[in-house]
Amino acid sequence: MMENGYSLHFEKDTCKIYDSRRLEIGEVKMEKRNRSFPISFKPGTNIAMKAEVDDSWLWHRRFGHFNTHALKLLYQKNMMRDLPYLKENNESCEGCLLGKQHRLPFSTDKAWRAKDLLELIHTDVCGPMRTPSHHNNRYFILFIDDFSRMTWVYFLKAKSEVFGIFKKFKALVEKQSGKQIKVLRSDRGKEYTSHEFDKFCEDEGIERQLTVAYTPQQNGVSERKNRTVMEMARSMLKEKGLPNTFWAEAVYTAVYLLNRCPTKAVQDKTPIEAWSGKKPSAKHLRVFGSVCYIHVPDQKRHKLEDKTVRGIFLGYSTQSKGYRVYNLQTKKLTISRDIEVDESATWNWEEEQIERKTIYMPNNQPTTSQEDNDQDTIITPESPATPTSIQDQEESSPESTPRRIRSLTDIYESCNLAILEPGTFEEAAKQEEWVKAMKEEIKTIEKNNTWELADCPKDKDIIGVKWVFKTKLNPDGTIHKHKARLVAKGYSQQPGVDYNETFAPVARLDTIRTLIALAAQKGWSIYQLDVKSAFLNGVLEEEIYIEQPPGFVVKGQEAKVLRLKKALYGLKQAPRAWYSRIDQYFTNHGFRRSKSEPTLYIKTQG
Amino acid sequence: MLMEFKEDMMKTFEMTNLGLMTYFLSIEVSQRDDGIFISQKKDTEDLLKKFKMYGCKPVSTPLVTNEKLQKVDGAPEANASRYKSLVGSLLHLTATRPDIMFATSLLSRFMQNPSQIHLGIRKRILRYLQGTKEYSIWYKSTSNPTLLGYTNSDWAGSVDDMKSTLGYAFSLGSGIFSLASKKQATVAQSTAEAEYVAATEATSQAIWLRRILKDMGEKQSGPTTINCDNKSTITMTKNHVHHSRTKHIAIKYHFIREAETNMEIRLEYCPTEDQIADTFTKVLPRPRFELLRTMLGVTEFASRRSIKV
Repeated sequence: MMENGYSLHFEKDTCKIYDSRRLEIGEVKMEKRNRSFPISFKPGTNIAMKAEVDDSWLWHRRFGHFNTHALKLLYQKNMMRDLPYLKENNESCEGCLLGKQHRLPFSTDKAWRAKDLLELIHTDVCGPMRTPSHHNNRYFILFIDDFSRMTWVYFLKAKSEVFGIFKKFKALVEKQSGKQIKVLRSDRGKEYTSHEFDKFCEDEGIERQLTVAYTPQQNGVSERKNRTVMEMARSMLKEKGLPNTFWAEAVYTAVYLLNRCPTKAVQDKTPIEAWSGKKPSAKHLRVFGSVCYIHVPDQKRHKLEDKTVRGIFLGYSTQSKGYRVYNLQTKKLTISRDIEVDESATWNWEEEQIERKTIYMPNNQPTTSQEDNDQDTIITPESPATPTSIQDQEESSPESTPRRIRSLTDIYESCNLAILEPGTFEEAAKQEEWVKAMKEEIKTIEKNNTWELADCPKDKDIIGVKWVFKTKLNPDGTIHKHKARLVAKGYSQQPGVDYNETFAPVARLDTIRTLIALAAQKGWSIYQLDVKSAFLNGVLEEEIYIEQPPGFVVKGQEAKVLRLKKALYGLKQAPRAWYSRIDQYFTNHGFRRSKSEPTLYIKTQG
Repeated sequence: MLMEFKEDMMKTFEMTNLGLMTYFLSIEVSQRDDGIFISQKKDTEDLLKKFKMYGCKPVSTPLVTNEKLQKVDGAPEANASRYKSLVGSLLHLTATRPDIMFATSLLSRFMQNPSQIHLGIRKRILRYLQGTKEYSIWYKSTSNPTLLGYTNSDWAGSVDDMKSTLGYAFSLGSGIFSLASKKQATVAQSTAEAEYVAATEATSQAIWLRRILKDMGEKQSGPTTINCDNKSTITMTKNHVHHSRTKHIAIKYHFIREAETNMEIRLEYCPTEDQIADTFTKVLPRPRFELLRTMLGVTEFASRRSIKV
């Protein structure tokens, strides 16, 4: 329970249960007998919920599954225009999990930070990817400015292209910022340590910082950025089920978004603001990979043609004010300004049609209403033997829509819950269902003509009886039935005095398998019959007296005892009595007992 | 007659008629036109869950070849009660899983004081079960069911007392139904002696099975063939010579000679490749293990038709 946000407060002999908002939902008294805290689950009254559509979830997806805490920061610190109020959200999102599950971190220590733009550039190559992108690229290279954390990405077909790209990048950033690259930090990949690369850096006066071989930790910024980018790209791809060939688009968009997302390394600014000094806008952001409708410009169509074609939204163009879209008809990437994005729709690539996933409804502040009853909440049965009853929602608090349904046994197991069964007659007598179960048992015993009332004999021991209670469960963990069984305290019986032989033969598995094998060979059918409460059928040879069962003592004859005619569970001779009974039955009906296997009876035709 | 009997019995006792047998003593039985498949899939799954191994990574054989187990191996002690509980559960599974019979009987030798190494073996068996949950015995119907036996023994396989392990298996043409894997009571001085003891045990079982089958109306006409891969053992049963190498063998093991003369059994040679009972006496490498497993009749229900025996 604690894992689900409830807190339990133990005090004296009670346990108070609070939910995550510190509201008391119930109090449980300790059971003296076994020091447990029985809770009863009432079937959750069917509650229907109305959830406010919470924008923060949509924006989380628009920002490529960026973490909600940082998005909230974006709003609070007013780092971006046109952004609604966003809440922090700890709900797990499938896209995020598919893309970002990770191992726990290594510890890090403070490193030197650049004081100005382009003072330090981190770089790393990532790849090769298994699937080439649409332009046959297999690698991408990241350049990260240490001061602003602005990131640039380039795609390559081979690692040898790194040098050319670096020259291009250098020209671009130096022109844009008016500053010069001073230090370049990279790993010892051959692409960075080539002769021409070294020469170029020397000529340009760029200091090289290379990591120690096989110590990628020293290139931490790049490696971490690599991961952030790949995680975001993966989340975006997986959520919309895009084919892996779109990885380059996803990486490109991820870098675009990350430049507009806060990082810890830059205070109160997005990287792009730190780089260019301009505050970015969020107005144009859409969920990556959604189905979109591309307006066909007037020049390209007749009057009666469709005004739109379907496409996949693949990000933002940096060169022109427009969106990058994949045209599903022509199978080409285009840039278009006029698109309509359906952010809840997903394109099914196999069946080539639109699929609509329901939007996650996070459960922050939904309002509940009791109006309609068609809501599927988990129905928890009322468990027996529960003195206090509180309404507790283990899995489904009334404010949440159930995401998936687990069987009750699973829940019981994981919560250390056990169903309480009464240990003694006195306890059971208080509860209706057990009283009913006991009455049933007595009825079958009496129907079976098991005993008769008799005077208490002087020279015989009286064997005690007791009730045993058992809750039978269905495979899914719900209660099947309550069973009460009257058993004799056979342990007080003494050999030679109360009983002689107790041995009863049991079928050998070898015999059973022999029968099955033979049946298979011969094409026979095997039928099965089952005797209910078999031991109760055994006829006793010895004189046995038992007490009257608790709760069913005949009025006015309290001093009398019962003389058993048939066996009772718990008696030492019960198995043997049953065996001799069934043996007698079979032999009377023309069966022949096998000499080599006393539990095998054969009857042949005629 | 069947209906009459059923009705009469229902009248005498309070009974439930379960119809065609589908589930008996936790064995799932599926009766088909071309044979019967018995399995304990649910029990296997429950066992894996109980020992928190459900969904583990499967392996293809229950035991590792060339790993000898011994009672005291220097490894730290393990929780004995859990170990015992597992051995019990595995024994229960051997009802329909002859392929883990040897592994189980091997594990049960260390119940007294299990070590972490034994625990590791235990885990491997569970991983094997995870991969072969669906496997069980398939009894195919063949035209002429005759009892056929296999006997085999390793020699001085137990490191602790140098005793040998015997194994035997019986089938009616497809799917074995009676089997054992057992450490011999005495130390054998030669492989032939070990095999001789094994053959005798198999003979006792064969005679019992012949009687049961006779009671079931399936009298065996000729002597039952028992396949053995040791030629000296076969000679020893046929030729009553007092050989210097056999003079010490306990009298009870010479019982096989009598059975042979009475035409109850006939010991025959079979090459080691066809020796099914090999799985009950030693650890086998994967290809051989898998081959013998299909020869035992152990298969998945879906691929049961691939069994040729």
